[in-house]
Amino acid sequence: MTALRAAGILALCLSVGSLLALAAASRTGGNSVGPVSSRVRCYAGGDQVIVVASSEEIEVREAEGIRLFVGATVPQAFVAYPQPRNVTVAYPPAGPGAPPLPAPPTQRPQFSGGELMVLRADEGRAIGLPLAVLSGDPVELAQRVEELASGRSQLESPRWASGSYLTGSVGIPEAGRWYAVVVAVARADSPIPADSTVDCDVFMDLEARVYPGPSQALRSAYLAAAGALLILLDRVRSRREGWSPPS
Amino acid sequence: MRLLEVLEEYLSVSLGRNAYAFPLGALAASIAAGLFGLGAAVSQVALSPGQIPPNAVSAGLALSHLVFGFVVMALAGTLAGELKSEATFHLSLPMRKEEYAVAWLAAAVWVPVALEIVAPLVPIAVLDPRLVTGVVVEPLIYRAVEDAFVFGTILWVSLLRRKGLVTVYGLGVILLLPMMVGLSLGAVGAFSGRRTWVTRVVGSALPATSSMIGVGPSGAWWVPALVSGLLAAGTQAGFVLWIGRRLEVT
Repeated sequence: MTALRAAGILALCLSVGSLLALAAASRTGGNSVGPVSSRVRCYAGGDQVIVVASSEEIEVREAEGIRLFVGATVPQAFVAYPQPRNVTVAYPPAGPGAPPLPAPPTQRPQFSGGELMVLRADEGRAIGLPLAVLSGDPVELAQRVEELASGRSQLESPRWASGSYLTGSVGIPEAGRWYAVVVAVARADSPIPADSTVDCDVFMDLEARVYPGPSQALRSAYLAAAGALLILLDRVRSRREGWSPPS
Repeated sequence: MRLLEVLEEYLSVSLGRNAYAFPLGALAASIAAGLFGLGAAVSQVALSPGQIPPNAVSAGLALSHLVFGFVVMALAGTLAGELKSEATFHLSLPMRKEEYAVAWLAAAVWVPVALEIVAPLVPIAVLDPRLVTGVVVEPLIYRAVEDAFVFGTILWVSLLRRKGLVTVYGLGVILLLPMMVGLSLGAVGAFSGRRTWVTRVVGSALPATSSMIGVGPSGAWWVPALVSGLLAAGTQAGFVLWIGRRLEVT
């Protein structure tokens, strides 16, 4: 095997290897980039809890072959009802061995659905994000976000833990500044008293995925073409060397 | 120019089917490196484009080292067999013994080292060529100089003309070296942060392996590269001199 031919085969192999590596890497799921800080509020009304969260601005830079996703996990909301009236505490418990205060009755509402949306930062700022989640009507905010969203994804519970938490991710369409907003609804077994304490949380994180596109295929094709050209040159050279002019 | 022609002619004859080991090794290395290194690369790129973290390259380099280590072992086995039986034929060609030695160094050290460095970078370059400029170079240099030294020692063992010995030694330095280095460094307390002359010597002679097990060389990055590079140059120069002056073809 001549050096030219070996180099050609090498280029072909590297081209195939790179394509296979990119294809495999794009199927292995997301690679965590880091958490995204967010503001969360839960609203209790009737027998339902609405969880609304907005991320801080997310800046996505231009990078070829990479797509960023915002992932969100919404753990189960926790409702602590007010202390029942018939429970009285005769003395404040103090010191070791003192009887503990009776815990208020609690409930963990089951999620019935949720959505994760991304919208451009300028549009998000126009509706007051991220602080808008801390005040105002959650239903109205959810409607405004839905109208403006550039991308959305339904949050789902895993089968083995139906309703106990929600998770999902949505792709950020392009480079720029973005907000991610989560709206999730959980239903309680019974009406929630107005003075109850409702705890909820939303964890957001950014993940990057290899997303090969036409430019990667083109680069790989260039490499393969260079390899094929080297092999062709080698064949031409070997034919010329084998050919001798007639005497 | 003549040397290049002689090398090409000799290698095309002597390597034969082994020549396919290079592209196949590069194929395996690029797939493995892409699979295990691209994840770390893309997550970093999302934060600060233009910077590829060392771990994104190190995982690929370690796998690439493994693949090309086996290629070198196979080639050194071929040299051992050739020195035992067929070297008379090759050395009867219009070729000096030194050229014969350099041809083998090119085939079993320089080309594999170059390919093991290039193969993990190709998937990154195909993803986005601008990313290659952000790759941290220390792991690449450490791996190149260390393997130029280690692969050179495998060639030295092939001078004993025993394929079995080449295999045992090759497997030892390719598969067991990190474990042996780890045990020796653990024995002197390197993992608890203690720096002794043993850690400095091992870190300087084998910078890539010691970095891989988490006890990287301390101080200026170029010192271990220089020490390991000098060891590699010495091993290879010794190989050429030994073949040129001491090799007797029976």
